Amino acid sequence: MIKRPFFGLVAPQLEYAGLDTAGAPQEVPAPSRITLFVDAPLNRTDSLMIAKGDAVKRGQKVVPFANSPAYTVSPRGGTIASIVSYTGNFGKKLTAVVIEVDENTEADNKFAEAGKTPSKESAAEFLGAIPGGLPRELVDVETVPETVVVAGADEDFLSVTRQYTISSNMEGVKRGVEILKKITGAKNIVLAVPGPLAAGASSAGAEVKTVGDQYPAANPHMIAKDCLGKVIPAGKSCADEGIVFISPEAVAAVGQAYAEGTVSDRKLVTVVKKSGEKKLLSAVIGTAVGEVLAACNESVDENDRLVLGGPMTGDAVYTESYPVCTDTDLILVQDATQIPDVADNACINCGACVRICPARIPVNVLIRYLEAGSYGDAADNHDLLSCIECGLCSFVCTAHIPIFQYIKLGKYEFARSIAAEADNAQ
Amino acid sequence: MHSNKKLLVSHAPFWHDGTSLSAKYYNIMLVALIPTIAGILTYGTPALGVVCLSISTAIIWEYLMNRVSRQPISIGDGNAALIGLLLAMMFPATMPWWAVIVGTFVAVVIAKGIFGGLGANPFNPVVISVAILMVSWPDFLDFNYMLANYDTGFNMAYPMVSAKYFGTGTIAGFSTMDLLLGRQAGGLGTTFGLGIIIAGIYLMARGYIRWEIVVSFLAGVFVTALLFNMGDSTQYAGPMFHLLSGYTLMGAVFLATEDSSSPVNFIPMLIYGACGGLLTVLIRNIGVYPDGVIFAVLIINLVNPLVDKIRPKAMGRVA
Repeated sequence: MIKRPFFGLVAPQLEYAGLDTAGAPQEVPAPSRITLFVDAPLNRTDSLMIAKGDAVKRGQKVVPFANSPAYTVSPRGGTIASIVSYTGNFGKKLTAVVIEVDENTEADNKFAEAGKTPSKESAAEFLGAIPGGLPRELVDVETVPETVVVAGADEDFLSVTRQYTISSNMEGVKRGVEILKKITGAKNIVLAVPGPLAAGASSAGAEVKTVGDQYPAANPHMIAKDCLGKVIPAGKSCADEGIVFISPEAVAAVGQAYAEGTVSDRKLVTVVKKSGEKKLLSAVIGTAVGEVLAACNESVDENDRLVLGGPMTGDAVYTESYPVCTDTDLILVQDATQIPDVADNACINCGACVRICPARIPVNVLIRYLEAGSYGDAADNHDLLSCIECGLCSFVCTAHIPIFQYIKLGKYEFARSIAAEADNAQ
Repeated sequence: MHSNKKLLVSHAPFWHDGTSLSAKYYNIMLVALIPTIAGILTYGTPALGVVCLSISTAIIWEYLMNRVSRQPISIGDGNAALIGLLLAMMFPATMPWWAVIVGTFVAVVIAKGIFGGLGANPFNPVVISVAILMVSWPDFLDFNYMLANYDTGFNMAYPMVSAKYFGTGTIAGFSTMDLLLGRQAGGLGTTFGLGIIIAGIYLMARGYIRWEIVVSFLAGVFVTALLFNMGDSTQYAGPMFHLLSGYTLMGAVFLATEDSSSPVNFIPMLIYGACGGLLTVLIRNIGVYPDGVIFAVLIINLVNPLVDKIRPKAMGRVA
């Protein structure tokens, strides 16, 4: 954990971790059971197109619902053991498909047929669950992104997953960039990498931009501002402005898919143990996090915290059975004794958040509106929607207020109220 | 997907830089002890009594206020103790015991607790308390009166009063060194200028107080005093005198920098501090009070919400 320096005259400089492990990632043994998420709620069982006991081929596309195009791709063959509902942050409903793996099942060849010539349609149809994740905006047939940014710099602290892909699989990334150029029609493809990797990245066939080494330089909004010279208006996403971010792992997977006809089934993960030791592993997508940790001799006990996706912006999960997803770059284990507390103190107006905020938000004023539940006022007059969600305000808060949580909640409730108003207006 | 092992789940971020309210207030108290101990060495046991009574009663008031308002007990964060210590520093060593208790009551209950406790006070509680005592019992904060029978071995005429009513000739005896080393009458913890300067540098370097406010406050005092002094040097004392006497250093380091009542943006902090310095000297030189720091800080506290509206445009803001 990065601590406040003894001297604090100016805002602290928080540096990203460089890529220090050069060795090949350790392979986590293939699991006997995998869990895959489908981005659709499990509401009506009558619309289910799959059932417990169904056989699934390796690499087969699994579409659970008749009325929703949401799907996942099973990286291993086997039989469906269960289909359950899963509730994520802010009430997001997902459907989890659990598959009992049978290594002897044959491979599915639908993509091999459909993907002979690279196209947006086949990518949208079959590559939605590649390691690294395929952004929906990239393969949307209606729109053409202006810029595709291959984000080779890890967004959060500790993670080296993306940097490792850039440094070890440049050929794969290059192959993927060529395909992306062909199928997306994007005007420019930019490879954003940390300074030390810039020289090696020049062979990718994309314009190389260097990302700063201070957090949150690798945040998509900051990359858009610093590397592309485009400030994203408050309340808009990067994709709204025609900038789509994709991880280098996904780019390499797209390249591999069209060149070899198969989709890679392993996700590269940085694991940070309680001791602070960092390890790179590759696990089959859907492997339980607990099994990944077991592979590197780490155990999780009662009251510890298991974080997926980084210490500043990640999500804490409540069970070790939570699977490695397509976008899981980092698994962080915190011992119960290492967990900093949050408190319900009032803001003392010390201004630490204001000084560190990369988006220049008046956090000290904003938090008062958010605490009072005045989300509309917060959004209209106090720059709630300018927040780029880096988490630095909570990180430095002297009063230990969960500011970032208030902001996320505020954005969520504000969006809901806008949606409700639109509904009422009709 | 469920297991019996209970993991801790919370919202990001999962790291914290390790600062805390108590660390902040204990650090401020730690260095505030430097000038306080100097005061105790000068004035002896009565000063020690005032400091102890002030800190302890401030904590008791905070505890009672917590109980009455049914809030969690907050004496552990150290803010009440800090208020008690700062208040004692501004009192003469001979302050009657009941006035100390009234002082801490006004600061902790009226100026802080009623407004909602820590972080909700629009004015610095210590300054409110001193202001009310100054207006209600002027004699108790008249250092010439309160310290008349003290024999400390140096000139015990309160320099602020001498400068105001008897011209600069009467303060010629105070060398800069005298003022720095505390050889002047005044609040028990406010006269040892060097100690307050060391405390201020420590707090600024560690980021516990905002240097912009301290520097601009002192600059405001210096420039305004210099202008007056250039205009009429027999009537108005020079800038160094104004910087090192009365409550100036105390105000710049410990009073104007109170978080809740001061701005956080860069330009507002400069305006806030500079106005404080300007008003201090204006009140001293042409106002009715010998020392202007208390009312100057109250006035800048009053305008703080307005000046703090001057701030950079947020990233991506359209309107």
